[in-house]
Amino acid sequence: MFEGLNAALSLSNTAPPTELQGSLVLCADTLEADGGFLLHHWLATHLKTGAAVVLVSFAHIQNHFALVARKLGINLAQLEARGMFRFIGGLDVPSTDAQSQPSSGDFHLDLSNPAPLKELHQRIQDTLKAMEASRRAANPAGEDATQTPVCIILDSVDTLFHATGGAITPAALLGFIHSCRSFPLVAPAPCLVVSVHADALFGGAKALFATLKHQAQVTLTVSGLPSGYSKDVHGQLYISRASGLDERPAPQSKLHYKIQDHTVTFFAPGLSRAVI
Amino acid sequence: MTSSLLKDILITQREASGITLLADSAADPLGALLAAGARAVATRGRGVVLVAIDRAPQLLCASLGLTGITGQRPIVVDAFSDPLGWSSASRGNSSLCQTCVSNLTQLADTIAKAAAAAAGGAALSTVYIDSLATLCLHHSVGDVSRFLAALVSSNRGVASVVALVHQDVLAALSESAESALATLAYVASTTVTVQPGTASVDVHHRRKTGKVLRSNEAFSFTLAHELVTVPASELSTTGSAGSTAGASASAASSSSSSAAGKTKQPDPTANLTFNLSLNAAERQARQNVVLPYLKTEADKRAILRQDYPSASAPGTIAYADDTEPPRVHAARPAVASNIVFEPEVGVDELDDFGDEEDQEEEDPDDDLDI
Repeated sequence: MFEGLNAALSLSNTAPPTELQGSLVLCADTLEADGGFLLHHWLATHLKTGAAVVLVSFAHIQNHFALVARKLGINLAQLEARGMFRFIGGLDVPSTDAQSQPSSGDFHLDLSNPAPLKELHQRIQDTLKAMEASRRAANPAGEDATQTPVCIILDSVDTLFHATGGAITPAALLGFIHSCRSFPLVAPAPCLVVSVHADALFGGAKALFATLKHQAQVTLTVSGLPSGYSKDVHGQLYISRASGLDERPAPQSKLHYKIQDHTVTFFAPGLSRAVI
Repeated sequence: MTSSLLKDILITQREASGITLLADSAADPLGALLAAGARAVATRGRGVVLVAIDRAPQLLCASLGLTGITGQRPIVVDAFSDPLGWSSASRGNSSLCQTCVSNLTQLADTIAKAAAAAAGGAALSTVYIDSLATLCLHHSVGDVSRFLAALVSSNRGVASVVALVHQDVLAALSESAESALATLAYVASTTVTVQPGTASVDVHHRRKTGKVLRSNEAFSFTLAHELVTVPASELSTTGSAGSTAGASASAASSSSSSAAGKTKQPDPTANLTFNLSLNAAERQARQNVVLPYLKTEADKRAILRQDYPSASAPGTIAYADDTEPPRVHAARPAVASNIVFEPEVGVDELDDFGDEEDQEEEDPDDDLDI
């Protein structure tokens, strides 16, 4: 959890971000600046404040997130046992990494199926139900397990276009993302975080990205500095928020950031420590 | 106060418009116009159907502020919760009409059913769609325009459709936003296009008669969420005035800031020996002039009314004979234009063609020298 980003988004560092329940958070990055830290932020923010997280990754293995979480002071295995965290490997890609164990959470996308993402949607719904059950089992006397805020993170959804060779259309993916915004059996509507590589999109995928931008309550866009690589400023982050239909979006704000070993610092453009 | 085309179409519905498209972009959304229209129509007690595709129905109702409106509740068609029909079972909320976006025929049927229920009786209801962009991703733009046309054309209780459509999505979809939007605009009677960077919109309205009305208006909202429009030409002097008027500031503050924000420009018409511009009183006087041959809307309606006295029906040719007392034409309203034919005294034949052949006995080619 990066407190600078929470401050910029006016979110609490201690209470679960209930204002984001039912909303769509879009994280877009480019080749020049990797936006992976944004996903780590949402993962940590939700887990540290007592919300449950389902992480569906189409690009990384579970071990990757376990290591990142350990650096951020979170024990994912422990949280998994308490029904607060589940990982679903979205793509069944054989890994050559000797350290990574084949995880039980991996999901094989059956492309011969006319609607391959429907199974994944069903899988997420089943996972949510299983988490609720294990939360109840871990803490029977506690508060209502159905009322725990839930966050669903979809990591690198655009990978689906490239990895499946066009078997998944932008419309199908949009429908899938749409469907993940409300699970009628899970009491509070989940907060859905979707990460996209904005520069790897073409054709209909661009239209998908544009549609998501319209629907997102929070859009975080990471890009490299226009002046090129800098040791002290790793990139810039644009934050745009749109609330209701009736309200105009707040003007886009821009922050610079520097990724450090255990955290990421955010500062206004021109206010880098190295400059002042 | 000059009339505003945008208000006439969306708020008062004085201008009948079958399909209205609100074409916006992510930076300049027009959702507020949709909300203002739906709110105004629902407050008047007309039937309103909200089609939630991009936003959750609860969120849509909340952002419209429609919960507190007395009278008929707007009916919400929920195409958001289960867009592909994956989890059709276990729907708790029966007040919402559940449907999915993958089947346009089913969507149209659900909307029509909701419209009939919302209108209640002979009246027709207005359908608000948020938004068409998702439909355009799932289906072709042509299919979506056919869907729109079918909604209003068939007698299904839908008087008009107001739909948001995102230009940037269409641009990414077909590599040219103009052609995709033109396909949709072909079936629409009104297209409201946002001008990027400003808070003004271009309104292009096609009446049923074929007359095309255009206007360029900037809009803003009062604190009571009431739509205020200003012709964009009055704001074009400074960029800052345009942007403040579009923000959700009150109309008063926007007008004062536009006055304050005006920079001193050299006036080329200042030192002329003649007058090029009009002052307020002169402009008012010019607006009050009634053009002699221009029929007002009231006059036209009077003519078209069935119970207009047949004796003085316009467009008839009246023959004023000696046997009949002459009619008093002056008492007739100015709208009736009649041809009065009075035959000359002593002329029996009323043939227009006369005896031209008898008069011209000479050979016209007589002097021709061959």
